[in-house]
Amino acid sequence: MIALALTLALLGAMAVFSSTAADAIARTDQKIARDMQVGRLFDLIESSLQTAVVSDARSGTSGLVCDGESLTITGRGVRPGLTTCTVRFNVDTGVLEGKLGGPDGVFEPLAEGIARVRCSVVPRVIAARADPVERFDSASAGFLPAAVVVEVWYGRPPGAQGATESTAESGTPATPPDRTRWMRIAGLASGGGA
Amino acid sequence: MKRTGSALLELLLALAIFVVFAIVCVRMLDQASATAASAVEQTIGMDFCRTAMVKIEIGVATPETLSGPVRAEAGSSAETPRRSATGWELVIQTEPSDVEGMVNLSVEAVRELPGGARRSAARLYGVIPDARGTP
Repeated sequence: MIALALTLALLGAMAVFSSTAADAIARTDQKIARDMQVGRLFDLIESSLQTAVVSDARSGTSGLVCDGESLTITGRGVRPGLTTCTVRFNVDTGVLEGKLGGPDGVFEPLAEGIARVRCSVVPRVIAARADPVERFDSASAGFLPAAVVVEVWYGRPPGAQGATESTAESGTPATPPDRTRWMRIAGLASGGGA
Repeated sequence: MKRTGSALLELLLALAIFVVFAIVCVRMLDQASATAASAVEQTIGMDFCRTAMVKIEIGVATPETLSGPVRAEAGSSAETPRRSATGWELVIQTEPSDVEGMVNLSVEAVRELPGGARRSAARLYGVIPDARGTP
């Protein structure tokens, strides 16, 4: 009886240990993967901003369009012509999607497990003061902004089952973002007055 | 009776081996977890460094105003990331550059660990116009 009890205890302990270890490994993997995915997203936006144009005179395409949850950057590519990079947040699935190319391009998932994304731009810096705005169109404004700010909240999207992120009435999450990156547009004068 | 005792002994031995194996595995998992946490810290630290560099470059902040504990910015959409609540600090230094009118800038993100220890998570170097020399 003692041997049987010990055998059962041993098997139970092994099962619990294996399960706990597997869960811990999976959580760590997921956490690292998400951080790396968001890092790559920042890098993609930053590299696209390096060649951004105000607008394409031929097609009338805006160089930079921001609407709070998506960002479209058109710039000079290696090949003749312009290349377009679009990043948007799919609020239903909690997936950040990206597309390279024009209207024919296909959105591909860039990062998963995202509760919210906020894209904003700093149009101008006046007297060392930056007032980010969520809506910006470089073709209408006639200039590129001084900087682009991307903020990412981790978790489940607000509409998803089991979402934990609290959201204020204005739609702005009550908690600060998990990741924030300010990105400067290359070639603009430093020290303000973009 | 002799066979039962032998089986019990074998089981105890197996239990002991399992416990040793489990302890080794838990330590390895702890180590892997610490390495992963360190990698994540580097990523977050680099976000802080790049953001600070951009703010200085566009003239929103100066090395003096950004140096010190990372804090929330009232009135800005870019608040302090959540993880900074556990203690992040920016160490920003400038020194004269070989290029006239420019200064070398070093931005370091330091993580304050429990117990008062500090660890450098990321560091970024750049060259920016010298604001003091600008007419």
